[in-house]
Amino acid sequence: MIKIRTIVFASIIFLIAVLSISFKIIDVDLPGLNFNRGDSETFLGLTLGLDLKGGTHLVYEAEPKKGSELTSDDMEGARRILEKRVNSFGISESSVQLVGSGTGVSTKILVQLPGLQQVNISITIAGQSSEKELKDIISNLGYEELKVSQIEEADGRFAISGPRIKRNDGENDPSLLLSELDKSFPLAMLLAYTSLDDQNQPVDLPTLDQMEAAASLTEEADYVVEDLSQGVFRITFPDYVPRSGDVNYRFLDQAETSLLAAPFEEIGTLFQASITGGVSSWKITGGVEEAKKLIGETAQLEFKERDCLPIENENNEEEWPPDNLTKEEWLQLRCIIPTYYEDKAVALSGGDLVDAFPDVQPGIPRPVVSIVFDDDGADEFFDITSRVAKNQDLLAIFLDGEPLVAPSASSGITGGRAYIQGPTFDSGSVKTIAIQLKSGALPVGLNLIQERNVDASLGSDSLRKSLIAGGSGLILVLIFMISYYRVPGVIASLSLIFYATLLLAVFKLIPVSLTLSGAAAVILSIGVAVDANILISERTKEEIRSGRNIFSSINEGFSRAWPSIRDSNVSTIIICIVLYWFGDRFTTSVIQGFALTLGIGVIISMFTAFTVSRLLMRLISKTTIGEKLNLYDPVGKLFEKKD
Amino acid sequence: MIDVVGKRIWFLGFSLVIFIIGLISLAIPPNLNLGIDFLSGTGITVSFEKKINTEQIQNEFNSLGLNSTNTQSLGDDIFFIRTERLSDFGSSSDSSSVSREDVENSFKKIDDQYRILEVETVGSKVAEGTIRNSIIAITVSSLFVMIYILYAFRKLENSVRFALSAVFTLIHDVILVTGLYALLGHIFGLQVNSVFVVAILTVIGYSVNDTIVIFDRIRENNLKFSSSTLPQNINRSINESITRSLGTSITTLLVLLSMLLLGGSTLRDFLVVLVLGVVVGTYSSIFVASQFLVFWEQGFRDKNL
Repeated sequence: MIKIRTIVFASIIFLIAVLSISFKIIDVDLPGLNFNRGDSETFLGLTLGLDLKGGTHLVYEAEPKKGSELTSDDMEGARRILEKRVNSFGISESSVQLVGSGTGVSTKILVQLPGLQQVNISITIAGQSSEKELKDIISNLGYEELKVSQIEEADGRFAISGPRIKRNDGENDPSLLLSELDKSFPLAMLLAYTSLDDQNQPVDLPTLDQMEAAASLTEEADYVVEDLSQGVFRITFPDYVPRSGDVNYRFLDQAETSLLAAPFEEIGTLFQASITGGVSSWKITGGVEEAKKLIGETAQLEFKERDCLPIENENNEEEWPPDNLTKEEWLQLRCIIPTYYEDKAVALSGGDLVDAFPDVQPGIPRPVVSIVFDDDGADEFFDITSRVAKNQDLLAIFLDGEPLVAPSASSGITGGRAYIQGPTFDSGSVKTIAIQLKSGALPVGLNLIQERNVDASLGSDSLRKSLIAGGSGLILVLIFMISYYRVPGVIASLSLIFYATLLLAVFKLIPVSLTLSGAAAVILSIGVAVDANILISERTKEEIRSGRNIFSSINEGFSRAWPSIRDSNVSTIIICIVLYWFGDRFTTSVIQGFALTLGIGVIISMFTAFTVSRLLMRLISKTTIGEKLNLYDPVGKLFEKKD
Repeated sequence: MIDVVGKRIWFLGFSLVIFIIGLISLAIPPNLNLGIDFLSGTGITVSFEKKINTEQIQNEFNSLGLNSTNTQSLGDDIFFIRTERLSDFGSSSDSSSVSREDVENSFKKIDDQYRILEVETVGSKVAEGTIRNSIIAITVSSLFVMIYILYAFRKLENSVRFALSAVFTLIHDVILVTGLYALLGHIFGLQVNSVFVVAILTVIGYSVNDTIVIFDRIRENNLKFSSSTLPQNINRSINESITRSLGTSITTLLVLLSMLLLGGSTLRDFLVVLVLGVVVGTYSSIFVASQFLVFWEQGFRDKNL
């Protein structure tokens, strides 16, 4: 019996497979289901490995500090630092992963940087914006070759990359893209007024009309003023173009904001002016070489004494606090705004920190980070904390030059043991801070042990050649199968096409990166798929010769061939599992790619043989072809059979 | 019907000849031409516009002081150069003092239209790891496959014989393929790198696959024709499954060869191992694997045939 269910099932799978490879980009956005696959630039939208799209592959090995051993926390810390560095570089689809040495701690870090010859733009948009929004805007502007990916969730940083910055009409000036984006993400300023004037006398907050009037005094012709709440206004300038001429790098700094805010200072006591929208940073980079330099440096933890301007008027200035700030504001801002403080180098270094771990302290509701210094560090730590406590300054801690935390101290701390608390700390953030402190404190020496650069042209050349070769190979196989095995050959060919389609669809949907070795695995798995069909048709032929009718011969042939198909493929699957398992020890993705691709290929080929080949054989046997038994015999015999 | 069992001396003798040829090839330096994954160093793939020969490149590298340089032509004016580790790679002491810039200047002297397609540098630690991991991977795979074969034939009388015969066949295939690869390596400058290990493991999978299909037949015929002797059943089984074995090999070879001829230079070495593996694997599954069973049963004597 042919089950209708089987036909429907096979047809649906085939349809899904065909659909998923006919569109380069799959973007399903339903409530509760968000599914994005594909790539507009690649063959069938498949994910390509570095060897096919070009890129750089770096392997670092960590070296423990003298007298200590590498722990998985150290490695995770180092990995995070590298990831941060790579992300700050704005290369999309980069990856930083720990690769194993089998058992125990992974001591190697694999960094993959695609697109050696791509233009990468790192862009920050102040305010809220999603990846999809930016993507839509860029493609609507006519830059279809550019891809967008979000670097970090929710901080507005994106990487835009593509082979070149070129619009559909041929325009290729990057500053044009920037000014277009400026129009899409207009600059907005948040202005906050206080109700006290310079002499601490109460004054009226500016009205919306006053604000409108002030806005008309700016050089911008177009503006929108919104009253957000008590003395807080948002002014949007849709046509704002940055003053700085250099389009490759720009940052709307304090100076540029102040210039824009000047007319608004006249009408009230401006407390704060900040940017809340617009493209706030823009950086174009071309290469991986710079990234490599950036990545290779050892993580560095630095301690600095943040010497803030005094609270009281110690130096007998004319007015104190400066800049018309109130006393409360001064207390808040003197250690936050860079012009009011100076970070001074101290004798304490990352190497003095012995340990840092998440902890709890009695009487403190939130988790804290405990830190432990060695003997030398403890003495220095006491000196610094004494000074910091006396002047109500801060101890600023930097990782790779970026501020990590800046705790204060209430008195000099002895014994080299302390804890850091913070109003926003939770179990996640203290863990991160502890790891970061520790990885800086225990700078695992990173040695580059392997490097591979593949030129994008070599990659695309390899891909093109492999496709031609694979395609011609497949056609040769189909010709051989049909002309030698006749009817079963036709069935095997149809089944093989089904197999190839399904395989590509699975690669795209999972997604599995297609590499050169993966392509070889696909080729091999074609052999495996053909083998299953040959086994079935050979067995069927024997059953027909033994005098059965066609339909039962097919059933019998199939059930006899199945154990061989199953048994013979299991050994290949075992080897694939072993290879995949050992693959990451080899620090080359070639092996795992091969194993994964071949394993998936073998499993799909078994599935295809089990469902599609059987179904097709049964269907065809019901037609008039099924009555012409001689069509089931191979043409001639490779070896004459005399029993 | 071909009498495979009766002519087994010939087939085993043929294997022995290939085996000896392989051994000789392996004994002649540079034995197996190990790549940078095993030896550490830098490999550069570069293409030129002008017609260049390997000697020009070799001379430029020698004048840079990179004496242990090996240049191969990959066709289409593309060359693969294996040399000492370049200095800008890392701080390790055993790197040469030549930087990538020096190398690029040399290329410029040869032809300023040069293009570096691929650069790979491997440190000595990775190289050591590759050797160790290759041995582990091959051993573990073979072990698991052996266990599986024992399991697959567990219901059969003499299942250990079947399993060990499949394992002998597997070893036979690996040795023959390695020997032939060494021979071709001398002629075409093929390299042994970690991809070679993958290829060998794939050959193991293919060999076991082929052997199991024939052994399955023998198992079936032993039950169906229990009055026949083992050699008779083996001959019967081989003749019944020979079309399938050849059919599968032909189709696999068709795709492998078109890949080898049209697919560019990057995968060449890998595909050569696979082609050798398919040929040797098919041969051994038909003519060698079952002979181990016969020897086990009756040694070199012929009886009841």
